[in-house]
Amino acid sequence: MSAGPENSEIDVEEARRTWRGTWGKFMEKERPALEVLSVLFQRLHLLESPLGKLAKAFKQKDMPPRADCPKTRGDDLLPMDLTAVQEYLTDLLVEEVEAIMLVVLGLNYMWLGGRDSERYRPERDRLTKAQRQAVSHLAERVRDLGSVDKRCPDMLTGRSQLVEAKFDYGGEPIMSLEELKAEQVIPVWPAVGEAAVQHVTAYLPDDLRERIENPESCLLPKEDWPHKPPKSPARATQDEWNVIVKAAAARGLMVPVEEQDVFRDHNGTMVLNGAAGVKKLKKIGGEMRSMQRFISNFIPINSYQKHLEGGDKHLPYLGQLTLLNQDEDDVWVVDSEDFVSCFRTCGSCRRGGLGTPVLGRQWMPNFLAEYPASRFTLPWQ
Amino acid sequence: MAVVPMGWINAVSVIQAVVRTLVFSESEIPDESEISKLKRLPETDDLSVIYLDSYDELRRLDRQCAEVLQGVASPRHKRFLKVCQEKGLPLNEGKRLVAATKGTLQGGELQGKEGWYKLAGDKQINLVGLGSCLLGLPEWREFDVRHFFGKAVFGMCFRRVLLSVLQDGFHFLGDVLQAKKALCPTPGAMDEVIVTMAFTALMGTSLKSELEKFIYCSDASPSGGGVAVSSQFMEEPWTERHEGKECWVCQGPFDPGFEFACPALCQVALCSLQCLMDHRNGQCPPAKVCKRRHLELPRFGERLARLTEAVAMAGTIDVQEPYDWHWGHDFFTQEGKDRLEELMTDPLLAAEHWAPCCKLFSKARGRPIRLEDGTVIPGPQPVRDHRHLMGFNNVPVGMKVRLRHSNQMALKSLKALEDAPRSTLYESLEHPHGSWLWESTLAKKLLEAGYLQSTGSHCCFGGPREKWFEFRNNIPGVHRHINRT
Repeated sequence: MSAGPENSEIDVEEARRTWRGTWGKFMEKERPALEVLSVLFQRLHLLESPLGKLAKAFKQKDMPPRADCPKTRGDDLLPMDLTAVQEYLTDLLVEEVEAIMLVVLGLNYMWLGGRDSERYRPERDRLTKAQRQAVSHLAERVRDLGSVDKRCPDMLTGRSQLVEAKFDYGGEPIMSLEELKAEQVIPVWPAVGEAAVQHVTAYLPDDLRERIENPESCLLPKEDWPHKPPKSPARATQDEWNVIVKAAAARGLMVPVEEQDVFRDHNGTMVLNGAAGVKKLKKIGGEMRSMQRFISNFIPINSYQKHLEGGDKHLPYLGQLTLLNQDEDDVWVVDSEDFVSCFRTCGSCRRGGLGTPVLGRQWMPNFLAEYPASRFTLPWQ
Repeated sequence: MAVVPMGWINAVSVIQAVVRTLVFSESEIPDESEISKLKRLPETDDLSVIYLDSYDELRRLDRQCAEVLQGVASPRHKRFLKVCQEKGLPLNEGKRLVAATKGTLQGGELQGKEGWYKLAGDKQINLVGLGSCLLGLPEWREFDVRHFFGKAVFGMCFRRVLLSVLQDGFHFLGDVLQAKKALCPTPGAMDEVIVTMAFTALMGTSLKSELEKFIYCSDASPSGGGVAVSSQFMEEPWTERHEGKECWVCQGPFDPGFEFACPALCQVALCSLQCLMDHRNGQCPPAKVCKRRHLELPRFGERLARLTEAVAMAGTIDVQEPYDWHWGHDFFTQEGKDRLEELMTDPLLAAEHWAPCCKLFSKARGRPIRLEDGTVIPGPQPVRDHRHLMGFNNVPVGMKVRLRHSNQMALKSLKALEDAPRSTLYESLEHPHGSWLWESTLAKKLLEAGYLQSTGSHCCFGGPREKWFEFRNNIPGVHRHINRT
């Protein structure tokens, strides 16, 4: 016999689509995370998926214990009966209990390897001591999540975050590049005398210092150079650029470079870099103002340079930090310092330069920007 | 730009090195306290985390002591502040933490009292929110899926067993990529989004969890099972702990940028091709022989040492000794022929490059040569033409011998390409573009057999002048790279 229409694949797909539509309607308002997880648990048994079927199996309370699933190894932690979990959590809010039950359902699902959940028959049982400890631990974590003072966005906002915005690895939004405006760039920079105060080579280990003092040694072999330099424009009008460069020169962020010193490729073409701005909110005089970060685009010059092994090999590794340990009577305390005007998140270019240690003058021809209209007529000369 | 620009390829290398110097040398903070991916976690109660522009000090204190010291900067912190002040390096006072029991670290939140290191709270809510939004969408695009699972993986790093949740989501991502359009999510992918949302609360590690002193691992199957017990962290098998400051074999210094890693990744670094081969072949003190010598790696054999060196520098491919008279080989003795045969029949041989002597094959022989000062001198004696590819008969006896040797070397190379099992062996033969060798029947037959003809000039690859060369080869990647005709 062929399967009935209610079982056909198309209908099942349609049911899933309907489930997603209903969920989308529920999320038309922004909601606390625990409410989201709680309602998700309530509606999960309606979803046509292995996890949905497992949720459904747990809902059928009169289901007899499965005969071929004896406790041959004694009391395992998983699976846990959801009703027993619910009965154990008597002094919590309903939302918290249902969020915890969703976590337990997820653990049961993982215990089943995400397969064959349809055939799973949960045993009705009381929680063992170990299970009670585990559930208490889960409750602590779920309540910690509930204590965060932030809500999940509504569907419209979330969708624009998910679909339109791009984020870096740290979760910071990646902004689109804008034309530079001097009045939005300069107030964000360090004050005159605060930038470029130390020479970088004084703080480098010998091997790295030798390479940095000799920019030629940092070049790739010529056969690995691109056929022509990648293009990267400076986004600014000549007038705006002039003002920006003047202010940068006053702070030691930029210096003039002679045309004959500019780095050139094998065809004698000058390799010039790009610049642009991205939005940055900054509190100035007690008022939040929309400013710009000055972004240098060094893709052109980077195409000709080797990666030098330096301090990057000493970066910390997140996985190691989870191995810190602590006794019951111990407390970890943190002392933390950040440099001003340094890049703030990994991989994000926050401004044109570090603002503090300076490279030797021999590097400057490599870091020249292609600015509009009159190249090399440096505005402050 | 006059400062270290963030977009520069070496900005991270330089800044991390600068801040390490400020912390460890200038502020005299012991570098044994550093948490670094290169080091074991320090077994001290006072740790240093340097991440580009930030310096964090983590102190494990007695609970009562911590209460007394709350808000009091540590001696190390004070030294660091003083150094920065003396050098005029401005610090961000708004972000400063002093003996705080809660702080952000690497995208996570350290809850010092509770003993948790977890994904930061706002990131947790963000992940639940994104998952929730994804579930409400009728179709998922590649970017949507990548965005959610990318963040999920980051969060899962705070409790790595959670990574076992993800599987179908990645399959679905593959489907979307192939379809090049948004698709209805599969049930498995939806389930993984839901489980990830549920487990967001668990994205952290309890620092108070006791470490099991023994880890048991067992399995059972109808054909038998096994059990293993581990009581300590092990080094990766057959590796050395080599800091790489001097050559593992000869103890000599490294030339800058000229360092060979053992291709079997036994973690040692060597200073030259000779030391590398001694290490791999066991021709050095026993303690210096590669512990992974028995690992079967693809091997590369050829004549010119510079190419062999380049392959060795790339790593993970074992190199045979270069077959060259500079390395003591003489093709015209029985011993030399036997050695070549031995190298060619190495069962692990994966690639060969032949570059037989080309002096007597040049079509330019006989043409006058113009010197830099304008003087014209007669060129070397022509010894072949298109009708006498193997050489003229009427040449002096000495030249006859040289011609014979030249022909034998060229023929050996051509035959090697002709006989090579091309499905398993990468082969290339190099000679000048203007060589009589390419006119030979055997060289033309190679083209008919599917070998590629790749031509380039030295000046295209950093050479000082236009000098054309040609490869017969069966390596499409090489052909794409060098063929400039």
